[in-house]
Amino acid sequence: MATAVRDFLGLLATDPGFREHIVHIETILPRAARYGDLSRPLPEGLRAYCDGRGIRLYAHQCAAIEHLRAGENVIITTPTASGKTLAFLLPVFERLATDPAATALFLYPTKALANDQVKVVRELEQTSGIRVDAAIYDGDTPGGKRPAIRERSRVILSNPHELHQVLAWHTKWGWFFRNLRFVVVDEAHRYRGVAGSHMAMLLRRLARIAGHYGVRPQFVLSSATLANPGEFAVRLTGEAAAWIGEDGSPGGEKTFVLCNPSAGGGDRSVHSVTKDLLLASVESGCRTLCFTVSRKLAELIAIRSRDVPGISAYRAGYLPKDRRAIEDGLKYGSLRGVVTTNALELGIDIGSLDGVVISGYPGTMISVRQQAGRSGRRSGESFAVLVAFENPLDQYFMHHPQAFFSRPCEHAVVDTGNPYIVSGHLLCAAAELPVDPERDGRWFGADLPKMLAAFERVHLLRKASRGWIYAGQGRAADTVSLDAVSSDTFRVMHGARLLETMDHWQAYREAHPGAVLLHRGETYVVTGMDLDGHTVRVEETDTDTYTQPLSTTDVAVVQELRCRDIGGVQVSFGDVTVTEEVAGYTVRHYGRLVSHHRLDLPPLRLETKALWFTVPDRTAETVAAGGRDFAGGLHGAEHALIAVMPYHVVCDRRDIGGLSTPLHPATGAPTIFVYDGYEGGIGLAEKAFALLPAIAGTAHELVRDCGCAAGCPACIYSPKCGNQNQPLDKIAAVTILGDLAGRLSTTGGHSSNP
Amino acid sequence: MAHPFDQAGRLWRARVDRAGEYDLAGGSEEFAPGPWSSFVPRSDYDRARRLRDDLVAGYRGRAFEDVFCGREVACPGGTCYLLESRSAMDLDGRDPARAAAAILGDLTLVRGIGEVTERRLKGRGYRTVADLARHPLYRREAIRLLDSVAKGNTRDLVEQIGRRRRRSDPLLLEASRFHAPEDFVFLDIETLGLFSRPIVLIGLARVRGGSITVRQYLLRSVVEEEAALTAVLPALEAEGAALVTFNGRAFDLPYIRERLAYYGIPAGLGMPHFDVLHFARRRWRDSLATCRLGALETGVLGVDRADDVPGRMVPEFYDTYQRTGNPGPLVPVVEHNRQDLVSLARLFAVLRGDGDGGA
Repeated sequence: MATAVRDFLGLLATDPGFREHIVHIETILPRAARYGDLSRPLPEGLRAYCDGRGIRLYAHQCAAIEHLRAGENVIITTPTASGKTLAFLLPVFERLATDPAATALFLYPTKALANDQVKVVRELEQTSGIRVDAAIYDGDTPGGKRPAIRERSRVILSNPHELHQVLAWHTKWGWFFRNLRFVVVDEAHRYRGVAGSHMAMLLRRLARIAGHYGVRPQFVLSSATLANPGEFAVRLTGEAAAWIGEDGSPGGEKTFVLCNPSAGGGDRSVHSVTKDLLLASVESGCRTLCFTVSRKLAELIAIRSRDVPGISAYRAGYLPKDRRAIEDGLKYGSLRGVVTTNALELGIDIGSLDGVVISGYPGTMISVRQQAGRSGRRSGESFAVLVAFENPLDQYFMHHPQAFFSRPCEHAVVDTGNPYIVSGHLLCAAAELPVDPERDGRWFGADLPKMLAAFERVHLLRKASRGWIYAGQGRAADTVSLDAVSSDTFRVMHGARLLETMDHWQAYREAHPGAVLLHRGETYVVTGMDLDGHTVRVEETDTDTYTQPLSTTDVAVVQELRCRDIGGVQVSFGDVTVTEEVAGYTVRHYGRLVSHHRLDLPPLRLETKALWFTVPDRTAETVAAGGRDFAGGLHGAEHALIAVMPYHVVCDRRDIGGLSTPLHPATGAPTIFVYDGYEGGIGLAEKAFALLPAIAGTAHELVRDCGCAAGCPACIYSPKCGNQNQPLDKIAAVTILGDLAGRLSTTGGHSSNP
Repeated sequence: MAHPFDQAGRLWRARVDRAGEYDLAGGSEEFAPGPWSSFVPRSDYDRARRLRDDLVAGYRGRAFEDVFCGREVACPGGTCYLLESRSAMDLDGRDPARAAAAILGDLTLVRGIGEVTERRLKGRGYRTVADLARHPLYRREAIRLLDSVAKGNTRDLVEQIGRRRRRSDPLLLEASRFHAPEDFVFLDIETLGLFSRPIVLIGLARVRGGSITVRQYLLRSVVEEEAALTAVLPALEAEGAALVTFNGRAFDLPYIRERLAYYGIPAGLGMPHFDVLHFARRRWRDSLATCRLGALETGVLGVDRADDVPGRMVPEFYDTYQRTGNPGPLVPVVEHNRQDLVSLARLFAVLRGDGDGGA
């Protein structure tokens, strides 16, 4: 295998088609294994399992086992493929072997991952002879099988959405909860920002129910590498955890290549270079995974790689059985290359790979490490290639490789004080067991009495003799949605066959009438879209063209709820409607525009809360007088404000949206909007409204003091910009932010509620 | 600046109001809802909404106690409010001999005996289960069944018959003849939803001496739920009591169980249970379009309800009371529940073939 990797790397160095695009090669040296010892041996069945597979425990696995034996909570943040799963499976099974009633709950972010992991758990169960009747309990579990699982299975694999529903049925789960010893949260880094706030409250509800049944389970968090593991664990579970972060597993040499299709004067597209890299890798004999930033690109690259057999696309939306076939194909060797979205970033077992091609910076270093970590073996070489897009962020990394390789993983921020999220879960909790203000203060915080009073005023909670009870007529858990994803699912039908499913935002963008839809390497054209019936009809077609939606995003002010005049800056907060209209689409053939079509789709709407403020004419004049681009400055200022918001508002930048425009009809002036990416709003813009002076100050310092010349990912480049980070003007942004921060910092602002 | 939790409270209030548990079915569409259907026909919905608004207008300013003539009762979990009403109704008296004959005459109740074996056994002189007590193979089970019959233990009998037969088997109705009319507790609850929300009305009915007495624990506030639960528990757990419900096996009983657990009140609730829905389906499935209680009332009992509130809309009516304090919307809810209980008892009588049909 090592020779296959070396062949491929040799090709990169010599082939003129690649050579001129390679801007940097970083070699990550091999590391030797660090093994550990246990204070006392594992039970015989578990030893047999390890021995049978030639497993000798690494130091970090031993550390996890000892901490869990000692009754502590644990967060494991060692890299992909370092044996994290075994690190918690062994101590959990050990406990289940010695305590024949003990139970454990494993939570995975997706059903697909639970389906994959249940195989590992069952194998351990069979080999070790420790009977746990491991079973999945999720939305796909038939009603007839549920009672037996609740009453017999000692290891249940589920997901947060299911748990959110299950807690109200705790009476039926009495046996399982009375014996609950472990709660394992896999891929815990996924729960950050608003998703993290929800998960944190969900885990508190679970701990509260467990407490009702007289137990206090240990928490095990398995996570990607993070900047703040200890703090993150406390925020997410409410309890301190021992941090296991020192990887003891060995690793072969890894070569990390930065590849820039824009370099060397070539006119090759990113997609074409990505495809060539994938093909060269596969033909060198490397089993290769190629990550793309969108579903469509995954399909497109898979189709263009058709000449070489054994390459498939993989992404969310595929039916579970299709996904499993591809996973197995990669694992058992019938597939040599898979082009995927971040769907394969999760720990689904696909065996070890020789190389990874990452097409476009995936937005966070957490993702880069997860994706790159998919290649590599205990010994032997592997490689990862990052292929840069033309956008400023990717290009910045190509020009500053050291900034890329030294860039730390992101902080995983979780706010447990968001009034909307905490109160929503309080409502659910009150439907599960009466809420006692004294006993339950530890779960819901010091503001619990205030929340109870507020809910009494809207007749949703009532004070009864045993505590506050839920009095609403809707199901509490149905009103609190754990994520922003709408439940409207579109079904894509080819004749009578269900091809795939997608959410409605995606259906509008990718499955509008006339859209070319790629699915598992086949090309379809959308012939009909039934908006009421949530159905998309497609026909097979044979074309090399693809389509691109033309969409515009707009923010309309519905009602201004509050406004402040601070030092001449008008800052507002209120209800807005964010609309995205897919007004038409273009047909392209290898990047060349073929035709242009109009669409007549109703706009997609997000009713949410926003803060907005205007930029005075004088500032615009100053920018223009300096010969700078005002729109680029406004755009850059918006990005910088959103970039620093997580530190002030405690959220993830994915939770917030922004829009800047040189002229907005609601204000008649240049305006910047910052809105919550959640239906109804979730309190982020509201908090930012109160903290704007501090946010503006930080944003100004960030951009002003950044050492770059014309903007970089550390200041005004956004990893999730809908406009490819264009236009941007750093100097104009500094002027605008400086003016804003200066005005806001002058005291004497007054607030009013119109 | 407004209090942040008031904003949050309003947000959740709006979400709760939007989260309906029924769907509206179009006007002319033909559909035959089962008891679990979540559809409320559009016309019924509009009528019920108008009814609710009329009631709010008609009862404005009236006090709860003034509209509902009942009394406050004290129970372990607090106080609650009880309404009582009575009408004529009779059930056949206890007839253990008839019940025993029906059960013991059916050899197939013994495990391992099918229809073919039964014919063969009868040919060889085993005419009743009592005779099987001599049979080397079937002795053990036959004696268990005989024992339950001798003791009139309907709880075990219902379980033993249930293991061999469907829940709709008429033999189960015969087993009910071990009970005197006053043993039967007819039960029907009204709730704020399908699950994990308070019960707002618990209705019990009993038949004694030619009349049926309906006792309804109507919650003046959901705060009284615990009191109402503790108030009905003795009747449900009384020695010899037998429960009769319409779909209670799937709904009322698990619901009560869950609410008791919610308050941490221990209860066994292991009484024999006759769920009329199953018997009714078997009997009238072919002659009626649906076997919902309303349809059976019209088709079998010839009763027509006026100003009824569809069961699915009870939460909305109660919520209106809860938010406005106006007792008007509860008037049809109480009547709906009372009528359900009386119809339930009458259907039970019809299915058993009692007297003149229970009128």
